[in-house]
Amino acid sequence: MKKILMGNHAVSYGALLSRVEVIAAYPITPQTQVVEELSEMCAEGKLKARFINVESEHSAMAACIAAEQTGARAFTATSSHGLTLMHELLHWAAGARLPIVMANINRSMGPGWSIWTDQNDSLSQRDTGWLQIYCESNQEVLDSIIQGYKIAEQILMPVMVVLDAFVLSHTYEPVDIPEQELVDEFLPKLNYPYKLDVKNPCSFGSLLPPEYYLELRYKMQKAMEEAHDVIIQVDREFQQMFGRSYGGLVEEYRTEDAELILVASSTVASTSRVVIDQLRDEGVKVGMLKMRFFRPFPTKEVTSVLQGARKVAVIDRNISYGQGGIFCEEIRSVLYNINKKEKPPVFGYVAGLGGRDITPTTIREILFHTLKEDKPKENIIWTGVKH
Amino acid sequence: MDRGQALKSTIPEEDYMTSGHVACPGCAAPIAMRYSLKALGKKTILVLPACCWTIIAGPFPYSSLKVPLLHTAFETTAAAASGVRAALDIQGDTETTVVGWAGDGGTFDIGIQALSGAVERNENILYICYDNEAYMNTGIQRSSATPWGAWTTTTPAKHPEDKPKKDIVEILVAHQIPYVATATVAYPRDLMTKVKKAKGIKGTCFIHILSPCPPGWKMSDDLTIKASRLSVQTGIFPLYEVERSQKYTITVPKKKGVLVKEYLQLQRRFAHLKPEDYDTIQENVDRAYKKLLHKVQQSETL
Amino acid sequence: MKEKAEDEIKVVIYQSEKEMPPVAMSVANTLYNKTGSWKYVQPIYQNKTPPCNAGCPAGENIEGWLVLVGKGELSEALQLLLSENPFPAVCGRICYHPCEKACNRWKFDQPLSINSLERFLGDYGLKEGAPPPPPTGRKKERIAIIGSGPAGLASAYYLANMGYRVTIFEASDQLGGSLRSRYPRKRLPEEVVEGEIERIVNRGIDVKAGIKVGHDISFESLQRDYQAILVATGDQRSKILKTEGEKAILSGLEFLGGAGVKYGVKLGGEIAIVGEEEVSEREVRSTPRIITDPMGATDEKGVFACGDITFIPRAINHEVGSGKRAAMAIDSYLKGEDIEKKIELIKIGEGESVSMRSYLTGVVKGVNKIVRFEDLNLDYFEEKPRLLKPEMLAKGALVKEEIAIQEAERCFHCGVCNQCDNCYIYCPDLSIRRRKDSKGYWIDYDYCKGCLICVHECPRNAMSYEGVVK
Repeated sequence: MKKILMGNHAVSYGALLSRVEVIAAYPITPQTQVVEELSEMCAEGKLKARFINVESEHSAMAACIAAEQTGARAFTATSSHGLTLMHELLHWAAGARLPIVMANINRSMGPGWSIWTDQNDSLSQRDTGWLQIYCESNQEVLDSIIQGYKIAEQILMPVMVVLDAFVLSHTYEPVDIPEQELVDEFLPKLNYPYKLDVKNPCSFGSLLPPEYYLELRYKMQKAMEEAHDVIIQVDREFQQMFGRSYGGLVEEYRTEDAELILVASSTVASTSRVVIDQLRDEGVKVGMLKMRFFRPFPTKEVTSVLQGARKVAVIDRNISYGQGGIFCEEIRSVLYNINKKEKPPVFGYVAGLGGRDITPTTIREILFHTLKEDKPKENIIWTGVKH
Repeated sequence: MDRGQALKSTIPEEDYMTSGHVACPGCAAPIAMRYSLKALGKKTILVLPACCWTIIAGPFPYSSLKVPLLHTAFETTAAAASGVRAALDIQGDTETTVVGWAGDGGTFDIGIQALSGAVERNENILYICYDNEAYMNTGIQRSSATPWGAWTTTTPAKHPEDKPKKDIVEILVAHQIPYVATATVAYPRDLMTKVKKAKGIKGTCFIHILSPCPPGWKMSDDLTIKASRLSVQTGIFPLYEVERSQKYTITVPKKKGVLVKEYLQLQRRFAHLKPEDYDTIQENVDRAYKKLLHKVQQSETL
Repeated sequence: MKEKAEDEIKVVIYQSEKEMPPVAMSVANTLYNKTGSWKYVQPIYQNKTPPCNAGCPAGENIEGWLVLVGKGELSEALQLLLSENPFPAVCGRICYHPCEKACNRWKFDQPLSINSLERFLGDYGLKEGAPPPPPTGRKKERIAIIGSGPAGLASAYYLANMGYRVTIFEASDQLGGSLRSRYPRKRLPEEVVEGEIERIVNRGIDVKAGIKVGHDISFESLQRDYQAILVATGDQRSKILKTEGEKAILSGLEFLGGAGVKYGVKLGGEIAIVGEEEVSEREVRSTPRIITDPMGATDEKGVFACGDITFIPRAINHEVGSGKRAAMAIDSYLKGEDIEKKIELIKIGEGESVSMRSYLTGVVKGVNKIVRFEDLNLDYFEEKPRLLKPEMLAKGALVKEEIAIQEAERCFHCGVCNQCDNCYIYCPDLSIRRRKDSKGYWIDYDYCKGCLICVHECPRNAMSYEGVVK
């Protein structure tokens, strides 16, 4: 069934279809419609879940962790300061190996207050152990939540589905809402193996001495590595069931003979497609690598796609202060290991922080700049700064 | 009647924890847990934040408890308990009791936001705070539960605690929950009665247990029960319950003629007090007890 | 001795991450951790001597029979009492009850009405009949007891219970001695005296009334025919039974009351004679008392003395105690055993009290340390005045069983575990367990950390502590 949905409501429908059982969330602009819709769905009986009106995001994640540990499928959504408030518990959820799915609306961090989009909030959680999926359309948002649960429950790591503030969250797009029965077939009921159970009492999360901590963290990384194949498998199954695929961890767009490959994520990837098409029409051999998954980092895919390019341009709508654009830095570090003598120069562009618009023009300028220069003159190429 | 039976204990035999835990010798916290669990029974899930009991519960891969236990981050006890409850509810489990078991730090200070939130929602949980009057697990730093005049590492003898103990019971009564009570380890039957009562009440119930700490209160290991008893007998820690946020009932009255001095002199954390300090404390305790009696009186008509 | 089989002790060591679960979850309990290694002192169960027992010259196990009365087990209480004192109904009327002065409850509110309770039990025994003593093998030795006052009768009773063939020689035609002559009838009725004497005599004692030794029959003939002789002639006019130079075995001479001679018996030592004036040795030697060792043996082999003829205070409780000590002395003498070696075993407290039970069984239930008022934890006792008052009995009214039972329940049981459960309840390490045979508790020293809360919270000082050698 097709509906015109805003990004936030696509999130709600994703959770609804995944038959989440416990929702604990705290409102924050621009996430509010997610929880309002879910609250409505619960009240109407459309969704049989317990909705906890927690008093902060930190408590929201705490409640989700506890609920998941009790064997219920838990869900929450947040943004920006809400996400960073949860930070302590993001480490906890991953360390506890709980398959929670959370939607994060990418919103800038203050001060000063900004409600518009950039990716710093979610990317600064990259070390916590959460998988991260960056979506470019409302359809992808809905689908990624469903896929997210399937992946999470298999590898026992939590998943964060990310969408841009306002550009996606409050933008209406047509979304194909899958049939509940099909989703039920695709995503069966949760059977969490390490749950709180009076019939089999044990403790979870106790004091963990140095002689064993390393092994448990080793297993987490192994799970992340295992995720690679699981993600691809799940995407394939999703295609079979629902007729849509997102290419797994990344999606290539017209990269076959590209000399310049643009790397982008979220809605920037969506806008980029338009520019790529334009430039191709103009005879420029450009292509795009859409970064869908940031964690686990698609090392294999990134190296295989980018090593053939003459130049790489990365658009980061984020920055790690003291280093550079985060996608860019991770790509550069991954390319370091490829066997080629000639590694393509990677141009790192930082743009669109705080919701500064990234238009097709912006992207055109970025691409032409890259085509013009042999090598990037600086580590960070700032785009749009009023000097 | 067999008079011999009168001597036999009315305490149930079954225990839900074992020996081998690493609580300090003479610690009241395992005693509090033991009797709470005796009253709660097998169908209990405990939620435990960072506190002394985190360590007492045993290191990976061991547990000194025989009920399911979820360790949770310091400030999240009540939120986590809410999550467990929600999951059980959605699974149709109406028999298992969810208990948040936190120290004074995780209840009065860093955990008070989550506590207030959960309590305000009247979550169907039992929250038990075992209060040793400081952040004992991290080495005896003051908390808002530290009583006036006490030494802690962050309120040293030259500048001891100069604020009164936070009245957590009144804070919770103000949240209008069905049941709030105080208890302490010297009166295990009173403690068990209250826990059992709370177990049968739907909505949030809160029990505040005074849990003396020999190292933190600087007293000999064997004086734990004596200190606990004196706290009640002097009126410093009255044992009472508040039902429906209205009806106050004292369950173990204070004892006439027992002065706070006797309680204070037991603990070297009060060793620096001067005679006028004893008077101040005595006055404050008497005043507070009088206030409580007044509330009891007023609620007698309810 | 492990009582709970379900809690198995498991040590878990992971050698490889492959063995480990992916989450920090528990797979075993903490019993692997023997926290008992922490302690440098450890608690022990150690019954001690209740002050009432130590204060009873007759050596009664007062605390013991109070427990039984408190449970309503009157017959058992009476049996226990009779094993140490055959005269409860008599004592309940004429004893000056130093036990009540010794009772720790005296410093708390009011002492136990031990004297009235003894009278109650004694009267119960006379009315309902006392349970028979445990049977014992018949011995071949014959013992002659001269005099049938309370001391002599008590001694006869103990010796007959041991199985000896006892013959009492009484000069008058009625048994009882001072019991007949010293106390007003109103205070000590005839039927009470007769009832308790009859119970004693029914043990198979041969009574020769109306026979004066030294007159109708010679002392030497007794020495020939009997293996031991006990002089229990009491406080009467003097009579020389036998002399050999300076040594004299005298009988019942006038007591030098005017000399103000005070004396007391201290077991294991000499008899101390303390006077207000100086009394010369010669005068002492010629006083109307027989000097014996603390247990009753005289200088003459095979001749013993007890009762008012010896240096004891002239009161029923001392007389019974004296008779008991002499019985023990005679028994040890006849067996060729050294009674000195047994004194530590049988003594109760530091005075003259001895326990017949300990003498016969060799068993001591605790250490001989008297529990003082300061040793108790009074937090567990509530003020409650006496329910049974002496006036209630004085008028001859029958006391309701219920009142006696409730009075007995006031007993603190100083130094004797009565399984109040305090130690079990307050142990933070669950190291104190109830014994399966319900006879008390055992301490699991594998986990006991030596905090000593149990010792501190024992209301009655029935626990102690000792150092641990590492």
